[in-house]
Amino acid sequence: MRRRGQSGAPPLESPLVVVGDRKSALSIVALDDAAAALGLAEDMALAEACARFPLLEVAHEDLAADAALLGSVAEYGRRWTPLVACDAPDGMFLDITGCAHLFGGEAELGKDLRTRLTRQGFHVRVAIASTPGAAWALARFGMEAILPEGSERRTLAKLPLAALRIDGETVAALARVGLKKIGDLYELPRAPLAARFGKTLLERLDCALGLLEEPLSPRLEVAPYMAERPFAEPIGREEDVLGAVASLAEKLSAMLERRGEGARRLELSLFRADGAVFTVTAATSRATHDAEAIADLFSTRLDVLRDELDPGFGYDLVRFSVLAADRIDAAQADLAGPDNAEELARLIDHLGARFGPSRIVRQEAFESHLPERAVLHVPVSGVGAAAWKIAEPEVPPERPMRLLLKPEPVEEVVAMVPDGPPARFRWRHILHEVARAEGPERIADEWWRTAESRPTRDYYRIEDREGRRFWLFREGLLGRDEKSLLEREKERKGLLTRKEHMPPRWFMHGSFA
Amino acid sequence: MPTETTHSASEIPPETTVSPASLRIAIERLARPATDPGSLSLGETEIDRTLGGGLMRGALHEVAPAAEGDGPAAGGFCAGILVRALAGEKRKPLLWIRHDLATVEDGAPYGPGLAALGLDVARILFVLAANTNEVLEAMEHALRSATLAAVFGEIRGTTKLDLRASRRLALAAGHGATPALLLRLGAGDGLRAPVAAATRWRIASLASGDAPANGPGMPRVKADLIRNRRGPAACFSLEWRTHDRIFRIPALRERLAPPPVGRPHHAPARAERRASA
Repeated sequence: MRRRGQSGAPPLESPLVVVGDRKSALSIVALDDAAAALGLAEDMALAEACARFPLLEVAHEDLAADAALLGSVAEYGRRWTPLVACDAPDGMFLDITGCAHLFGGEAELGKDLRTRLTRQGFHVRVAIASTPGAAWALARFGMEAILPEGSERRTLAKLPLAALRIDGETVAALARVGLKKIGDLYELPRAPLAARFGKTLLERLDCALGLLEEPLSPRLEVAPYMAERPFAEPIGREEDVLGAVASLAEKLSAMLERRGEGARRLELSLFRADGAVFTVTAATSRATHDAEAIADLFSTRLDVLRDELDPGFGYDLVRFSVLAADRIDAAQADLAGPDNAEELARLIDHLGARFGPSRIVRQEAFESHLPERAVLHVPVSGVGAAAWKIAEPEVPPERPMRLLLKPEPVEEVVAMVPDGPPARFRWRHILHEVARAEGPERIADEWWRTAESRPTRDYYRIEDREGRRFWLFREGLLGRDEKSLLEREKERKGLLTRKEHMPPRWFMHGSFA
Repeated sequence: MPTETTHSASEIPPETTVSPASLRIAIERLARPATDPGSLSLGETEIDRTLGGGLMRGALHEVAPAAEGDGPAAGGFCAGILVRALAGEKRKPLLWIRHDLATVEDGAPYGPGLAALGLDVARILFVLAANTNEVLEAMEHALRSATLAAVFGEIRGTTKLDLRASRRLALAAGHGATPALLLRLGAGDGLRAPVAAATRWRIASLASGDAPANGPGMPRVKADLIRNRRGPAACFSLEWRTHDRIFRIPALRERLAPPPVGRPHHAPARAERRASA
């Protein structure tokens, strides 16, 4: 398939060719009808083409854009079957086994596909066959047709060898010995053929004839549950889309319920009439087949994404699929006990859909000396037994209620003894006179983290005259002039970090209630 | 002794049959808290009396620091209320909606510190909201669900909280009979506007109680109840008792107690000042 002209370019008057680097020269890799009519062809050098037709419009090939375009077309192809595989650079395979009757038969499906893609501006060639190889050969080298099962051998016999998806060198080598058509290979002994031209040749032949199974590698895995609704007249209004979502959610819910399963991850695909496909995904914190909950989840998601979704001329197909499902009776660790777990899960899902799942978190204790590492923020869905130290009988809290994201430098620190608590300090422009202090609590860096060694911290719990309570620390050690024997030894070996020698600095790290 | 036992057994009138149902009623009567279930007792009788039984569940309560530096004190007061709310519910979790700006300015709620105040951190769900409107929206939605022990939202900044927004919250709280707590940090003059809250508190820092080694003691705050729908305005000095999980008004003697003797930092500090002069 080939899109006519470059997207966004004005209607073209002059013939267009697309060029790319081939064998260290710019050669034509694709051209439009007008250019072909002039007698230009692929693989022709750009210099030659320009010499013959100076008015030629030339565009550089953009492989990434081609791949992206093919990807989006393949995404659109999912409206006919969930099994879509890309065949770079310009083809795609659709496994329509068991899908054709939904569109009124293979012929109707093929016609529908051609009409829709042609309307989007592509040259399309469609062939339907029992094997991917045969379909490929027909679409590119033969007639666009529906090949009845069992007639592959006869039909393919007349096609050139290149139709076997083999490289140009092999084709040329075969041509040198007089083999031009696929049928020429049928009667030849296989062993010498394989020995001379490689195993691939025979493999491709067997695949095309259906003697060898050829699996497609679909772009996306097939969803276990799927419900969809086509619209003869594309829908674009928000309430129509939400209505479709609600009715599809009910269909899904019935399917899930029959199998005793609940959805964990869902995807909504909106197929726009002009070929664009929007997909919206949402996850649930516990398996559910509640249609209302599912519909509510997606109406929230759609509301959040409203600016990104552009209905344009409207959607002509809405598909709802369950990407992951769980047994509904599976034991689930939940927070609220059996009485209101369901409703709580709904609340969490709603908030997750509204603010993003990563914005709903729990805190879990983590074994670490460093205060900022002692807490893990985990998504709510991963409910675990968090072990938190229970408050001891009437001991003032030793850890602050709030921890600053980054320790903030404290200035004008006056301490009565160099390694004692401060008597006065300034933080965020305010001078605090210390009334009470407790410490130091020495927290050294975790020695096993060698990448970036941090200086030792001495933490103090401090209360100022106004009754405000802070968690301050002094970084770096004092009295390094009188080095101990061990430290001197460490220093000699270069083990002591340079930072330990810096004058101590003070930092604010948190506040107590 | 045996005779006595027989005697006391014969005291029970033979027609009184002790049915399981009547026993259950008796047990329930014994187990029932002194205050009514529609209120959240703060643990100190004097405050509960002022509040008409405790903080109303199903209503909005506004807490704000009395001055900019009193944010941690106000947060601590809220934490105490949340501990009480969680203790009243068996397994319901607590939703704590954080404002990103508050996280940047005041720091993030710190699990070990919250646990040290007696909060069951495993039962807290945090929602991170980008702005005030998101906080209010999440609060309202959570309050309607009636699956939570309490909903706590914190907002920072002078964004006005109008009567309509607070009324929505109050209505949602009433719908699910869930206590709604709103901490307004750095609101400045925005606090003057009326708010549809059952109680409005202004919290100031207060020197903590006694502790060994002259360190900070149990957290204390000065709680100024400036609006109280079910009673008069009042002002309390409160101490949070971590272990009993109650607020307590420290004895007058303690409150008036002179600062700890021999504040060692004092003289040397002056000496240092002199030295530096």
